[in-house]
Amino acid sequence: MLGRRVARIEDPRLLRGAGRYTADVSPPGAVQIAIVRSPVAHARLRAVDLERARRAPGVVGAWEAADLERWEVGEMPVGWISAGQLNVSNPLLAHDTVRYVGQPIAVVAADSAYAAEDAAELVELELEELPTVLDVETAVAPDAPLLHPDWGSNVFAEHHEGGGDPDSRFDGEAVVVEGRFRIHRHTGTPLEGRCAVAQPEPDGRVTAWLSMQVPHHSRTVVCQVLGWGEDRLRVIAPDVGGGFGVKEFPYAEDALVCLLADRLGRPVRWVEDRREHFLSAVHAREQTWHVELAADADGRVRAIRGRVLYDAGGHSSNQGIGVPRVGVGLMPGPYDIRHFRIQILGVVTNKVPAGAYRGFGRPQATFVIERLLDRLAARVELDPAELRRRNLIGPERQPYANICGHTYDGGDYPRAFERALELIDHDGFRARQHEARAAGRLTGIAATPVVVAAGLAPSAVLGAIGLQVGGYETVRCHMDPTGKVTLQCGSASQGQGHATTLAQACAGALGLEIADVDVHLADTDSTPYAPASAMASRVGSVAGGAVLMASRALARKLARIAAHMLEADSGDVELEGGEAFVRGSRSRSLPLAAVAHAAHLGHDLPEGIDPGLETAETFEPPSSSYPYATHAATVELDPATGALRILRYVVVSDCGTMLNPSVVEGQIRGAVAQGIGGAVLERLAYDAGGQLLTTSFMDYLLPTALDVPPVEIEHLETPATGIPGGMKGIGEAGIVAPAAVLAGAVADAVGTSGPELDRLPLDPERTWRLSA
Amino acid sequence: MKPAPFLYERPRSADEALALLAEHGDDAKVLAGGQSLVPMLNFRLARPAVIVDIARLGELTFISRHHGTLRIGATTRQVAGERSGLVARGWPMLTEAIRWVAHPQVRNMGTIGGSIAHADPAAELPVACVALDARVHVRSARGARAVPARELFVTHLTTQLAPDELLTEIEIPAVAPGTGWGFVEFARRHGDFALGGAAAQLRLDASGQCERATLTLMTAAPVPWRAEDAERALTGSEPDDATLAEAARVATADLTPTGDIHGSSEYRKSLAQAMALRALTAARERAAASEASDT
Repeated sequence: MLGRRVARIEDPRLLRGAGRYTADVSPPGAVQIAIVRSPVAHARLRAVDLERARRAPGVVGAWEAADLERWEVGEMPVGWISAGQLNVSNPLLAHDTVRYVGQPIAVVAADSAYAAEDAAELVELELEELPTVLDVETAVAPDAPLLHPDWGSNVFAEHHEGGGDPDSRFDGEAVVVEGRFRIHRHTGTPLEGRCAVAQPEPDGRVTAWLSMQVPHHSRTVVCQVLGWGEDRLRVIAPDVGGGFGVKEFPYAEDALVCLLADRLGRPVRWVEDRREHFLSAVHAREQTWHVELAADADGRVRAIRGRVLYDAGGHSSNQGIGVPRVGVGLMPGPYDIRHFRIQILGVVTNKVPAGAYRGFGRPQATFVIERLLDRLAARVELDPAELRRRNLIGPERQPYANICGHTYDGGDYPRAFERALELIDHDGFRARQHEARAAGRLTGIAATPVVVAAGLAPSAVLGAIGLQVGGYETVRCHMDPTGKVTLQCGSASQGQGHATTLAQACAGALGLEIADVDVHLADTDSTPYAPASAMASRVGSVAGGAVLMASRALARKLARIAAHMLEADSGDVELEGGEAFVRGSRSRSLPLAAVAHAAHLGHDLPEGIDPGLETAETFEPPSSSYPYATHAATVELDPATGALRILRYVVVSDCGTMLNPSVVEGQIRGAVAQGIGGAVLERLAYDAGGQLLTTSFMDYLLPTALDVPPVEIEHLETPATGIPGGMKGIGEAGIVAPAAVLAGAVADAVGTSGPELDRLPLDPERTWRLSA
Repeated sequence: MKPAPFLYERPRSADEALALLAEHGDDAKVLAGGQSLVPMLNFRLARPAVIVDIARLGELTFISRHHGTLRIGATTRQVAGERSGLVARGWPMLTEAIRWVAHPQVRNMGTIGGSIAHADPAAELPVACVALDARVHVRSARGARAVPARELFVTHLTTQLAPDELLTEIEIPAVAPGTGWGFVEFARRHGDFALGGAAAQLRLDASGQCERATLTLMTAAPVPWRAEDAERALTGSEPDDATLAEAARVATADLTPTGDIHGSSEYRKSLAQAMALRALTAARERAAASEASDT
């Protein structure tokens, strides 16, 4: 069962339109809220006049920051606080200053969304505009306008990551390459936007449906902001149409909906539209790097040093400088680099706050190191593939402690790399490439090996780095008297198929079919506390590990009871095919339902066995897991239009034990598609005044099926050492390489190792200029 | 986003629609397939006081041929034009142009007249109309008139129609036998508004000389742009590769397309030239093939 390509049990419901998303929750009598957002990028907020809005037809009420202050509502806490970080919380509604277009200022509630939006237009703002800062390099210049004058700077956090003694390796004998790299602003774009519905209950509690990745953590944060005991709030994440990190932490709107439902005594709904999503959900990816790399003449990397400026937008949102910290910590990746130091500066600018997006800093760091390696390959006159080959960490060195504190948990990086080159026919392509070039065609190839940390853990380490959640997972497993199993897991699914894969893990341990296992997720009233839920590629490995532990505990208890009933030794009892039987004599068997029935009766149980069939296990992983892969791509450019055609895209991936290879491949394909979108199509563009220009899917270009090539996938399977079952999280691994591999292939096609490809995206005008 | 309040009218006849337009003038906006107007309403970029919904007027929904001329009612859905055998046999360039319009979902709802009246120079149907020397029929409570497509478009999103006028029909003359055509465009993704595009027609005489040429550019100017200098240069020429390349250069030499976040003016100008060359080349190949099949 575990490891089989089982069809997803969610799909019939979701594909028939029978899913139940937050916007489908429409309690009778609900009021709709509209958020009044800042129309300017930076201004002193002198006054908010709600009177006309309050008198508009259908309006139930309108509120601003002063109302929240009167109600003693707190601020939204930042979820990752590094040492010395200046920005640790942010207001729900702006008071005195607005710092980006889209920042919430007031909220209007009305009988319909139409009435609420009409009334929101009547809210009058008195704004005194301030100079804006839209670029990190401008923001750190000495005379930059300050977003928070009390900080004395636009830098809200600083951190150094690395080890060894890089400076000493930049001596006279080193081959040194360097670059200034810019990764553009883009973001995870769930097709279901954000949405929140809250309903007051007769017993004084509030039930909230939030389109969120983290129901338990959302409850914790919302209650902290509102000053509530957590017993007052039930949070449910129903079907969620994509999260990608954008829904990894609750927002002001989630707290406002709960607050207003309680105060009004009526259900409250907020369903954003796409324009609002682009102006309010976290942006991501934008970073500017200055980095140098020193190597020996034979291409072996000696050291890397430099600085990254992280564009956090108007405030540090929920992640502080977590994104560049994770990216930088894994920048050495699969390469053996012993001297490494990168300074990270978190910088505020007058743009939408930035936060988590699938990949979480690693696509940027990978892009930077891969561009540097291509430059180095040209300098030492090696094929880029050969250069990488010389620097990869061999399997004999596993487990390998990287210079930033990550201990990789096994695998064979060179094997994945060589297999990817073989699959894409690297040598044959090189031969054909010369012929193509002679015929005026521009084709290129690149291969990018990566290592990714998944399922950030353990909790003590998260605490040490300032991440304000634990890394553990608790799962309850219950078998009813008919032998059917209920799994309760607090983590939420945003479409990944957790109900299928967790049921597979459980059914495998109990010798059942997945139809025998009912998976309950993401409801704070009925599932165990899940601190980190679906963040950091952790459900398959961490929740999956907890499911295995709880299911195996249940299996042991069933075996004990069955042994008693079969008059056998419990060590000889096996569970398979819905039966308990004595090893070696299949005829001595009992249906599990009979065992379960006996367990619940409790009339005749073995010594020391309690009645009932319920187990709960908490899994605290000893460390993150480290899936790895090599992505290889071939491309062709059309010099007349700049069109970038991906000829082939190959992934050789190792995510340890696969609960379900089809689900794993879905994660890889989806991540590659998003990675291609981010590298080629997607860009959040601002004008000089700080207005966001890309607020619809007409201008923010997501990849369609026509823009994504078939992704050819092959697996290696090296079990994780610290995880029951051996799974390594696969949710993000696929998005780390695409930008780097495509930039490398384009550089190869146009025959440059220069700075032309040191920035993204690879839009057609850029490739046109490069291929001209 | 929800639209600002408006009054919704659904007339039962074209005459009723004209009466409503006469009554409300500038305050009214005609709604047909809604593929451009509805997003603008939802963004509150358009705030008409009155919406006159003509989408279900059967009298404006037809495709027919009359004395060799193609007639298409304004509210005919684009998908109907795309699938029409009549159109495909006599006006294949129009079929091809419609295939480039957005995605099937948009073509199922969007109307042919609506796209033309919307007058986006990056849209396919205005370009096709100008390329095919179409005329549009326009009615108002004051009377009726016909306007050549080449004179219809004033600038970006603006036609010469008065607020009380309704575009009711598109009339496209027969395409001379042996005419080769090409319709190409380039967009960031399939279905997006073109960054560059062109429609070309070439007819060759018995000696292979170009007897007639048309070249129309998408999105290179504020209106669909007939490249008359290039057409003149091509007429009477031997349409070899160098001649077509020179025509494409001439066609775009004096243009300054508007740049935006998806492409600068310089890039769009280069694309316009590349698309002109591809459209002309395709037209030449089809003309030559037609010549060959006739002899």
